[in-house]
Amino acid sequence: MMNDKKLDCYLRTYQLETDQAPSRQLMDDILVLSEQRQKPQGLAFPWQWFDLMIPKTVGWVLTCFLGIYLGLFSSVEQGTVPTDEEYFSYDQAQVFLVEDIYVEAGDK
Amino acid sequence: MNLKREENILDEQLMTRVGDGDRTAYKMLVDRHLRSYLAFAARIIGDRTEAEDIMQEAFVRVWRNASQWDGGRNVLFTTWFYRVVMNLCIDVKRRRQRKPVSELDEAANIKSNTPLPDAYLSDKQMAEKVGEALEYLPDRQRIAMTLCYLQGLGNQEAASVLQISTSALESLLVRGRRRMADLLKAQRQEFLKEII
Repeated sequence: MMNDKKLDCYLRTYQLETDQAPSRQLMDDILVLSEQRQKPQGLAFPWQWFDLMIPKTVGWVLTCFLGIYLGLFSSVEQGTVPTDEEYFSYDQAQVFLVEDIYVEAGDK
Repeated sequence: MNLKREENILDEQLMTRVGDGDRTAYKMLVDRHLRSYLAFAARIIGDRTEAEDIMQEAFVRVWRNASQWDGGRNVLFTTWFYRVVMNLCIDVKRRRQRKPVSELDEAANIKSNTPLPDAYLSDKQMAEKVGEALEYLPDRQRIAMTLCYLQGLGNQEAASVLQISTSALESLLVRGRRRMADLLKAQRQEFLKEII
């Protein structure tokens, strides 16, 4: 087997032979590539701003629809169609009120 | 004066600045590390052109991940970046067609007592032989050998890159050296046969 000293000498030679400076082109490519793949941010890039707005917009639209639905349709069902008992109570109240008015007028 | 102060900034601080979109800090990181990491990738892959592609991708990852860089997590930039480059190299190697194992065994099994012909080998030829021998080593042994003997990392940092214990790294180095010595000896016998 090869001794340790000789192996170290081989490795050292390999290290020196493979330690080459990178080209200027590679350096430039690296700097340009990261710039190209950079995500644009801020109001200067309206398309990205719109992308960010989509979830918010969907949320607001759903909230508005829910509000309109609850505001309009639920009030119609509860308030504008009185039951018979409600009519009867209302009539009774009217009768009592009129009787009271007559009684008060008679007293005077 | 200002340049001198810039040179003393730690890689981790530069990484934080890159996270804030500082292109000067990014350029400083590229200037500092491209050469040694390119050599590392070329030694692992065995092809400089592919190593250059790997470095482009590796630095794009630096740029992308810089915003999530946590300065307080106690990881050196160099260790993290070695891992990034190492994983990219492993991916590239996996995609490649592997050499058949039988070739390796044949090369390793050649034994002879003939004197070693180092005097006939130029540095370039010697480096080629070492490169070929490294190619035949299993991935982890090759990476361990490269980190410790060619990149000049200490055992602890190399173990941290490979995410193994120091004793496991030492074991990889011992096996790697033994295997490499066998391979180089076999190669030299072939070379001797050619020149005789």
